[in-house]
Amino acid sequence: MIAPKAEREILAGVRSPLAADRTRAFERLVASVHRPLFAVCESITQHRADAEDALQEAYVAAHRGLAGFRGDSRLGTWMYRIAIRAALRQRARRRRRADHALASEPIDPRTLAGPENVDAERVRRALGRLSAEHRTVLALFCVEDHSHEEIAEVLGVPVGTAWSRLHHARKRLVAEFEQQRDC
Amino acid sequence: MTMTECDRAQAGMDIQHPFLRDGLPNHIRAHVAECDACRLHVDVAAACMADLRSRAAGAADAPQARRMLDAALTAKRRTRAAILALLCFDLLGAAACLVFIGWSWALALFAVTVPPQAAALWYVSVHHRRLIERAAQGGELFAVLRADLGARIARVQWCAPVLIVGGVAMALLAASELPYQAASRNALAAGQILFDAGFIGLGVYLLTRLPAMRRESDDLKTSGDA
Repeated sequence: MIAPKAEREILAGVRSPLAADRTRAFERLVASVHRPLFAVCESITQHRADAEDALQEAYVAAHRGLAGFRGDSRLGTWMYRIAIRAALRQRARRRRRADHALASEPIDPRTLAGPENVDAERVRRALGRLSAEHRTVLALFCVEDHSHEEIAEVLGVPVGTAWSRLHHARKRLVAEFEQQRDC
Repeated sequence: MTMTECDRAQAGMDIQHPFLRDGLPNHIRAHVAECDACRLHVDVAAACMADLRSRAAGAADAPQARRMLDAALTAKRRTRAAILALLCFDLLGAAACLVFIGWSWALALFAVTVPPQAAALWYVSVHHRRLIERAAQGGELFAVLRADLGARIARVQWCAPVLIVGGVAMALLAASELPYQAASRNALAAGQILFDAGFIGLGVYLLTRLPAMRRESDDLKTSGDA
């Protein structure tokens, strides 16, 4: 999430009458949320190119809507909501095209630092078999260490729901992992 | 309802965060060390976190994302405006062709249905005397019409280059969108390029037919004068 001070500066920038200030503020916003948003989008779409498209769509929407941002929620939360919606739309489009190539992309073992006794590729496959809802909550929890309250705010659900969704997502992930092992 | 040690450990993983063995409190760690099921939970969760974080590391860097966004925003605005302008331009050209062609056929219809005397009076007033005289004589009506059509299109010969230039420009603009769009939008852009190809084709056809049309028109005038 964006630090409160940085958030205030970004909001002041986007409301500035000078175009250069607005551009700088938006650049700063993109720089601070880009990587975690990409991870969340990729975990929802399970497709790198789709995640990039979703993120681009989210940035365009944010760019248009930022001037009217009222500050009812945190800026980071708002960006997450837009990106998640864009990623879900992108995922639905791909499903409609029946080109359901959501199979996991080849994994580079060097990028992973998980436990050695767990097959990372199998974990990724198990993750791919979860529902988008479960993947979203896991991604929010893992990528930026969001608290349950923040997750609930991003998803627009009560904290208890975020909590139970996370719990079930983790259980489902282990169940899918074990199922893969049995196969 | 009493919670088992495993339930407590797994609830602890939900609360205490992040799936990292080192981040768990001591009593959960002690249980996890002894329990295979809970160890599997922790290990899978840790691998999941590593996987998700590796995706973040795989993202294009922010400046690159910003450039893509710039391209998307600028291209969207510029493309929308340019395509609209060019479409109006091309439609104007095509409409001019259609109006002239349609006018010719309306004349033909008028010539064959209205008594020659009345038609002649009317056509004299609108400078189409030669056409109606020839049409009233019967026989070569369609040759006359074709020549008249050629003469009319020759008068709007600017339509052909407009159609070609406009079509090429619109196709280029649509093509410039391709690298930035999702597959569905690429299909849309490809459809637009095909549509533009139609404009270009019509323009090229008119351009190649113009000399023949002028020749036929001149022949008709000469024979009429003779």
